[in-house]
Formats: sequence, C-alpha cells, structure tokens
Amino acid sequence: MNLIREKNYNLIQNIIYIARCSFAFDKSIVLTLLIIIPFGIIIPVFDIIFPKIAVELLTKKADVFTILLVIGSISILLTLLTGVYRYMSEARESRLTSFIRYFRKKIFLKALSCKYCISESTEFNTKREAALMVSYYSRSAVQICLRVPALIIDIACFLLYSSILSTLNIGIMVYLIASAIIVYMFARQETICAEHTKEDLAKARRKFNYVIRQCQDIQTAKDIRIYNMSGWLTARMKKLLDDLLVIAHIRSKQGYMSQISGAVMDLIRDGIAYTCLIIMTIKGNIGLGDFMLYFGAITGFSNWVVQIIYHIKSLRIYNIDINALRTYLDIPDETNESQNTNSLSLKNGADIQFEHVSFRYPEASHDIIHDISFHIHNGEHIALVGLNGSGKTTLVKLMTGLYEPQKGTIYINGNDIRTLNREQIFSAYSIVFQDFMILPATLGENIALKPEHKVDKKRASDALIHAGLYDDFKRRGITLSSYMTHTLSKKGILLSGGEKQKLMLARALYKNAPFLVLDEPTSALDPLAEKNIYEKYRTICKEKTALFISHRLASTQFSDRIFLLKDGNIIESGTHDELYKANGEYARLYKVQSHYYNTYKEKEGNGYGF
Amino acid sequence: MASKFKSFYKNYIISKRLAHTVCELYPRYIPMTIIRHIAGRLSAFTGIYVSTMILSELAVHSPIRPLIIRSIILLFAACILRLINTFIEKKAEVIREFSYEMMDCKNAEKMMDLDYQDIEGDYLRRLRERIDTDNLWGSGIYGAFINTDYMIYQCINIIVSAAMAASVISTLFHAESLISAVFFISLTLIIIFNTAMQFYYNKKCFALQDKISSERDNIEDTDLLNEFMDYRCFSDTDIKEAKLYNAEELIYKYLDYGKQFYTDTANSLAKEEGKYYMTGDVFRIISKCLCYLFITIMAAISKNAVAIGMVIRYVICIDEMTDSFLALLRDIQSFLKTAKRHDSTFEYLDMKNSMYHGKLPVEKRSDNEYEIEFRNVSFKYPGNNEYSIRNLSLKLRIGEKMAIVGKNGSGKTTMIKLLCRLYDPQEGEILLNGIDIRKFDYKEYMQLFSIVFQDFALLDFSIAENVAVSDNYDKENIEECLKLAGFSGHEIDAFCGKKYDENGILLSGGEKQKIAIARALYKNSAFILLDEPTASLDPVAEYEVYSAFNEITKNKTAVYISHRLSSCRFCNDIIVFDNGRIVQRGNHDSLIKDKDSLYYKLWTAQAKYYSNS
Repeated sequence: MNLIREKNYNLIQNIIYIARCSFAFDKSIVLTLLIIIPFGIIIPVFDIIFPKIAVELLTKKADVFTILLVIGSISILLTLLTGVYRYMSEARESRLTSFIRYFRKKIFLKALSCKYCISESTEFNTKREAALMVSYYSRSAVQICLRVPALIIDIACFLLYSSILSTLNIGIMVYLIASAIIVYMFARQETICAEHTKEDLAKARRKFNYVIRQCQDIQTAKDIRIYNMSGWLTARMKKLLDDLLVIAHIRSKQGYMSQISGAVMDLIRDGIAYTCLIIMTIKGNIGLGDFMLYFGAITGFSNWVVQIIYHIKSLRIYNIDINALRTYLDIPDETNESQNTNSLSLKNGADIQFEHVSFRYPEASHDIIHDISFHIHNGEHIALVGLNGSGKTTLVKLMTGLYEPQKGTIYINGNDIRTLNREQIFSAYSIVFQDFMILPATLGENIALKPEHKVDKKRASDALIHAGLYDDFKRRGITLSSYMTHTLSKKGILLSGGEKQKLMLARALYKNAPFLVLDEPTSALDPLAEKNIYEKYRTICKEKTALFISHRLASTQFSDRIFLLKDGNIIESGTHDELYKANGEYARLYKVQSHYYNTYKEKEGNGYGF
Repeated sequence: MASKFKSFYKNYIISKRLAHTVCELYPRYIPMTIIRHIAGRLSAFTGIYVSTMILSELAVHSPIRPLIIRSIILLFAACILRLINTFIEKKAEVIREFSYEMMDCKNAEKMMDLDYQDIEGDYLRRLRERIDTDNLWGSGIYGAFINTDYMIYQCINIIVSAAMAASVISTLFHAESLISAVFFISLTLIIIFNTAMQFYYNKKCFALQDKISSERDNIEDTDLLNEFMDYRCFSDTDIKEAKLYNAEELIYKYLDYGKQFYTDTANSLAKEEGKYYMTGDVFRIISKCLCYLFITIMAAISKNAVAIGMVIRYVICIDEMTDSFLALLRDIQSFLKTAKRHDSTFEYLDMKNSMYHGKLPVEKRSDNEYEIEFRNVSFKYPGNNEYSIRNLSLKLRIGEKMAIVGKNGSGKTTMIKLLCRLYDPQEGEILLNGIDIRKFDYKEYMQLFSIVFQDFALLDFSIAENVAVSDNYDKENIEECLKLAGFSGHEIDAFCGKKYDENGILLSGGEKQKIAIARALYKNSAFILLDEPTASLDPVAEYEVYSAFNEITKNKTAVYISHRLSSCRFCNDIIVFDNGRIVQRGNHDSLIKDKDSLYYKLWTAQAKYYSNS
C-alpha cells in the first residue's frame, strides 16, 4: 500500500528543482532562459506605442521626412528585437527537447537501482507510468522551463501597463482588476467542474484505449478472427467513443459561463473606457495620440491579467506532475545497507539455511511463505515441487535476497544475509527463471551480461555447449559477436522459445556460481529436448548445490531430496522413494501425473485409485 | 519538371483525401468552423471600427452623445458575435480533442478486416512504425483538423479586412498612385519572399524528420534508450535478472547507444524549425511596419485629407490582410506537410486483403457430418525459406478424437493455422466435404471451428462476455461451459484483469486457460481444436481437464496438440509430425510397438521418469 511515499513539494521548490536539473543537464539553458526575458517585455509595448506615434505624427502634420525617420527607425528596432527574440526562443526549445531524455534515463535506471520488492510492485509501476507520462508526454519539466520566464514577462508587462494606466485614471484600473478577478472566479468554477469530469473522462478514455489496442494487437488477432469478434468489438469501440464525446461535451458546457461573463465584462469595460476617453479628449485632457495609447493599454491590460492567471494555473498543474515525477525519482536506491559487512567465501560451495522464515506480499492478506525452515547442504541437489501458487518462485526470491522476509533468518554458509551486501549474495547464485531476458546486445554479452571486452570467450562457448546450443548456432553461422534481436541489426538472431530457455541456461552456466537454481527450465521444450536437459543435469550440477523447481515431477528422480511445498510451507521432504512410500501428498501428485504413462505398463487399468 | 509536376499532383491528391477524411470523421466540422470564424472576425473588426470611428469623430469635434450611443450599440453587437464564436469553438474543440480517437476507430476496424497472414507480415509492421513516426511529425489527424480551422480563419480574415479597407485603398491609389504602387509591390514581394524562405526551411525540416524516422532502418543510429523505455527490449520481469547477474554495466553501455545521433538531429531539426518560425515572425513585423510607414506618409501628403481614425483602421486592415496572406500560405504548407505524413495511413487503409474469400455458404448440418481433407498441402511462412508443412495429406474423420504430437517446430500448430485459414497453403488444397475451403464464406466457415491456441488471448471484459464473445449471452449456458472446463470460484460478471475495469480480478494462467476452453465450448462448433491446452496448468488441474476431455468433446471432431504425451491416450487416432510431415499414424498401442519410431522415443523420454520399476 504505502511502499512509496507521495511527495508534496510546493511550486517554488519544484521550480528550483527543475532549475537545478536543467543546470546539471546543460548550463547554457538557464542562461538563454534569462536572456530572453527583457526582449519579451519590450516587444509587446510597441503594439500600443506604434498607433500613438502614427496618430501624433499626423495630428502634428509632420513632414514626410520626419515620418520616414521616426517610423522607419522604430520599425528597424522592432524587427531586430523580434528576430533575436524568436531565434533565442527556438534555440532554447531545441535544447529542451533533449532535456526530456535526461529524465527518461533517470526513470529507467530507477527500476534497476531501487529494491527489487519495490520495483516489482504494481504501485511502483503505476508511479513509473505517471512519472513517464509527465516527463515524456506532457513534458511538464520542459513546460516549467518555458512557463516561468513567460510568467515573469507577463508580470513585468502587467506592471508596465499599470503604470501607464495609473497616469490616466485609478478608477479604470480598479475596474479592470476587479473584472479580471470575476472572470477568473468563473474560470475557476469551470476548472473545479472539469476536475469532476476528469475522472470519468480518464476512465472512459482508458476503456476506449484498451479496446482500440486489443483490436490492433497481433496477439489477439487470431482470436478475433476465429471467434469473429470484429462486429462486437467495433460496436463496443463506437459506444465507448460516444461515451467519451458525451462527457467531453458536458465538460465544455461548463465553460460557457466564464465565456459569457468574460464577454459582458469586456463590453462594460469598453463602454466605460470609451466614454471616459471621449470625455477626457473633448475636455482636452489628453490628445488623440494618447487616446490610442490608453485605449491600447486598457484592452491589453486585461490580456496580461488573463495570461498571468493562465500561467499560474498551468504551473500549478505542472507542479502536481513534477511531484509525481519526484515521488518516483525519490524512491530510495538500494544501498549496500549492511554496516557490519561480513565477507562471504564461496570457495567451498554454498550452503543455504532458512530459519522460521515468513513472507507476505505487501498487499496480501496472508503469508505466501509461512514459518519455513530447511537446510540445503553444500553439494546437495534438491527438487522443489508444488502446485501453482504454492510459493516456489517466492522462495527463490527470498533466498537470493530479492525479497526480505518479514520474519526469520536466511543464512548463506552460516552468514545471515542481512549482514552481507547485495553483490555478495547475488554472486552465490546462478538462476534460470521462467521468463527470458534477451538484451539487444551480442550473443556473448547476453551470455555473460557484461560488455564485450569483459566476456570470456572460452567460458561462453563452453556454456553454449553444455546448454545444447553450440552445434546448432555453429551451423547457422552465429558467433559470440552476432547481435541478438532485430533491434540493432536486421540480421540479428531471433530465437524460438526453446532456444531462449537454453540460452538462459547457458547464462547460468557461464556465471558458474556455487548454487544453481533452475525454475521450470524445460517448460518450453519438447519431450526429447527436455530429456536432453535432464540427462545433462547431473554433469551441469556436479560439485554444485542445486535447486530444481518443476511441476513435472519426473525431475525429482535425480535429486537427493525433494521438498514438497504447499500453502507456504514444506509439508513433505525426503527422497522420491521415501515420499512415494509414505503415500502422502507427493505420492498423490505423482500418481496423477504418471497415471497415463503407467496404465500402459500395467494394463489392468488405473492402478492408483483413479 | 515532369517529376516535379507529378509530385505536386500527388500532394494535391493526398491533401484532397485528407480534407475528405476530416469531412468523413465529422461532417459538420467545416460548416461549423466557417460560421464561427465569420462571427469571430466580424466581432473583432467591429471593435476596430468603433475605436477608429471615435478617433475620427473626435478629430473633427462631432457631438458626443450620438457618438457614444452608436459606439455602445456596435460594441453590443460585437459582444453577441463573440459569444457565437466561442459557443461554436467549444464544440469544435471537443471534436478536435477526440479526432485521434475517431481515426483510431477507423484504423482498428481496418486492422480487424485484414487477413491474419498480412498483419503478421513484415510489411505491415514497418508500415505501422512509419505511421507512428509520421503521426509524431505531422501531428496526425489533429493536425488536419487544426490546420483546416486555421486556413478557414485566414481566408475569412482576408475577405473581411479587404472589404473594410477597400474604399480607402481605391481612394489612396487614386490620389497617390506611385507611392501606393510601391507600397503594394513591396508587400507582395514580402509575401513571395517569405513564402519562398518558409518553403525552403520546411523542406529542410521535412528531410531532417525523415532522417530521424528512418532511424529504425538505419540501425546503427537506433536510440536504445527509447527501446528500453518502451519495453521493446526490456520488460519489468527482466529487472531481477539484471540485478542477479549484475548486468548494469552492460545496460549502461547500450542505454546511450545512438544518443549522439538522436540529440544532434533533434537539435538541428529544432534549429531549422526555429529559423522557419523566425522568418515568419520577422516578415510579419516588417509588413506591419511597412503598413504604418506608407499609410502614415500617404495620409500626410494626401491632398484630400484622410481622417486620422481611418488611417489607423486601414493600417490595421491592411496589416491583418497581409498577415493572413502570409499565414494562409504557411497554413497551406503545414496542411500539405500533414497530408504528406498521412500518406502512410492512407496506404494502410488502402491495403487489400491478399487472400481469396469465396461466397459459398457452408451447409448447416445438425449431424455434424463434416469431413476435412488436406490434399498434398505444402506451406512455408512468408519470408521463410524452409517449408513448415511438406506435402501433407490427411483426412479428419468425423466424430473422432485425434492427437497430434511431435517436436518443437514440427508443424503441429501450423497445420491448425492452415485449417482455419489464418494462412493459405502455397501448394495443395484443403477440402471441406470435397470443396476447397477458400470458396466458402470465411465467417460461415469459421463457425465450424472452436480453437484454443497455446497463446490464446482473453480480453479484460467480464468472464461472461469473454465466453460468449458478445454483449448478449445465455447465462445458464455460460455457467455450464465454465463448469465443464473446470472453472469455478468467480462470478461470471467479474472482469478478467484490471486493464478495462479497475475492479477486475487478476486470474492465474490456469484460470485463464479454463475460460478459453469454456469459450471454445460455448461456440459449440463441429470441430474443436486444442493446442497445448494444459501448458500452464499444474498436475492436478491438468488431470481435471484430461478427465473432462471426453465429456467436453462429446459428439465433436476433436484435434488435440500436446507436448505431454499422456494426453494422447484418449485419442484413438494419433498423428506424429516431424519436419512438416506425418511420420506415423495410429493408436497408442500400435505406434509404441515400433521401437525405432519417433513416437516411441517421445513417449519413453517422458514415461521413463514415471515408471515405477
């Protein structure tokens, strides 16, 4: 539930954070961001000054030369300023595009650097998705870099216009600010309402996206055709789209009030402003040029207020996004936390002991492993069997320190694993998991999981031979420096499920750790290939401690001992013959599986009570 | 020259089609936009009209009261027009916001309509990658909607501002023809020059974008960070391996692969885009300044004095007009760009089904007397040199249970795929009651088969919907099928998985497999084909399914593929596949007698671990 602490920094803290990140990423960004601010302030002022000057020149009946000189020089100045400003803005954007990459990399690496039990949780994944979303899709970090200078420009212009208007009439200024506030209140109402529909919208959108993705998914394509789902899915898709549009239209209707209030406020503003200005001009208080200046300032003024409100509003939203990003990035890294580091010697093999270990998944209501104790002696070969969900893989993760038990102690060669650092624990194990990790790297790198120059070629070839891949690869012309997958080379190697499984075995053999764990290593293999692995098993595990997990019980026969795991505990242990004779749970399972094979031999029929 | 004309013509055709697509997705969008911009522009120009009118009247000291009243009436009208504009805009905004989704629907329908052999092919994969990058650069269908809006805006703005400035343009032209000529010629030059420059930069951007999007073909430049991030080459289950094998150093090595290329091209792209926008802005400012300069000069030296307010009005109008001209040309260019980036989408929508689909109805038979025959069938997967099925001849006997066994990659699953026409064989034919299956109506033909593939897919809808593959279902029937498949413990209206409904339940692999079997049963077809139906089940669950097997396949023709040979024992007919051929056929007892046979080897490989001798 609460593996990950939500972060709630305020806007200022987050702006500083982003500034620091951008500084770390590229120092010149911060500089360009600051340089453009004065340009941003000066350029809009020309909008109100230009008509004023034109009108004044005409009322004063200036000659052509003066007009040419005055307007010409202003024009040149304005053109130059605009050119520089735009160029700087774009150069800034180009750098910020790569800024996203900076966060993406951080987000990716977090999954590797934090504790496994956290990175595996659904909570972590949700947070990760959220962090990715804000850094990549809504680009909030980049937006903050862009919006903060924009806000500074707006505030400066607001002050500038205020000072112009204050020379005219304080009353008008008060009205303008008041009307901006009223419009803002309506707009706020609108956002609050939008918040309500936001959830419905997100829900409807998720459903819609799910269906769309499934319709185009290659995995689902077969089933769609065989069960003729297209009509059904199309109807569902259209219905969900309609739902979306209905919600969105409801949301947009809530915007009418602020639009109407804005229009009415502007109408009143223009009415008052014109009347005032007309009267003042008639009275001779201001000239025609000033009329244009003030009128421009009045209409422009509310524009700045709207802009400021808008920018603050969006910065607030980005602030929430950045908090999501920081919630994720602030997840503590896994440290080699053990202060009293024991040194683990694996020279003489590995010996594993569990003492009253219990483990429960963070969101679960009961222990998946409950008060388990056992001892695997150095050089022993153990088969771990049990039904789906009995906790076999969890046990492996506990053993390797990927999970930390809530209760009990685990020892490697007599050392409590809490006193060892991660690398030491990991170095004790070679593990073949059920899922296959193939990186877009060379074959050698995939076996060693080290960069090319650190790959021991001889050892890698040996591992391939033992895993039963060498001859086949040689025939296909695959060498250790061939790229795997099509990511980096069109001619990259693609492997079948069975071959991948064998490659995982080669990886474990290459590592050559004293404790070998094989988790369902033959599930993707056909009977002959499976038999091959079984036959090699003895040679592979020679002089090693080994744990073989399978729900095909055949594997148990070449193990020294069998552990039968049920409901989080070992309920039976012993050799195959012992357990079979004991006629308990193991015997029952074994009979279920051997049933069909044996009835062939014992023609009398279902000799085992089935 | 001819080729240039050809490419121009092609662009024209694509743009036309894109515009059609906009109309097709939301027919009212264009009329709505036209009305909205007319209202919007009239409102804006009324505002300008009022302020300049006041200025002129003040200059000649007109009476105040009628002036104020007139102004307020006009302002009121402008306010109403503005509200009409925003009212329609709100609606149009929603349409634009969901334009991607509308297009997604179209694409998804197309996908489901294509033949399976095409969607698995390399061509479509590459095309879809192209569509993705094209949408990124061309902003997709949203770009088409927004650019349509812009272009309509510019056109209306040109018309309205030209109409307002028309009278004075003619008077001025009359009075100061030389200066006016210089003025208008320079404006035209600006427009031409600006367009040329923007065209140039646009082309450069386009080329750079292409360079980046061809990145995936140009494999040395692939940005692996993206591949890692998008789970294309690293999934979250890989984290444990990376940790246990201490693979950080290797991952770091590849994480920055292609980074330099990516940043460099992205930077130069942004620079070109920057220049593009910069030229646009600078020219707009220049034309604005020119307007002020010329009109002020003309007003100053003009013999028949022009009112001061008029001067400002004309400056604004002419400025708006040139501005819109510049913008219109830019918007046309972006529309063209968007259209070009839609080429791939159109190519996809135009894809033809490569398989022949007949129209022959399938005879409905209550006695399920259907006979399937493979006659000299050979097949290789597209892009593969080796045959997966070689000269296969085989009859499925009605009502019989048949098992197919063999090593990985021996063609077992491929045979099923041919049978249900996910692929068509290159040689030979498959017959249903003596007629080539290609001649039958595909949907009717598929009614004959219930298939559970090894890699079946369930949707995250409710269990009942998954079983029935429809919104309307017979509850009792569903419950019965689920029971037969050995599924229990969950309500049938519970959602499978959390992706569609967050209150869904997470099912285990075994439970999903049972639902998939129930789905096959619910369909109640003449043939039932099961491909490794117990792969993810544990021994006990596996046993349950086996025990129910006879009940499940009662009066149907059943084909059963398995690695676990124990399953074959139900079947009176076992076929052994090797290398795309049938090497043995018969029942278990007869097959096992030949000690050199593949079947014997396969059987003993597994059975020896279970013999208690």
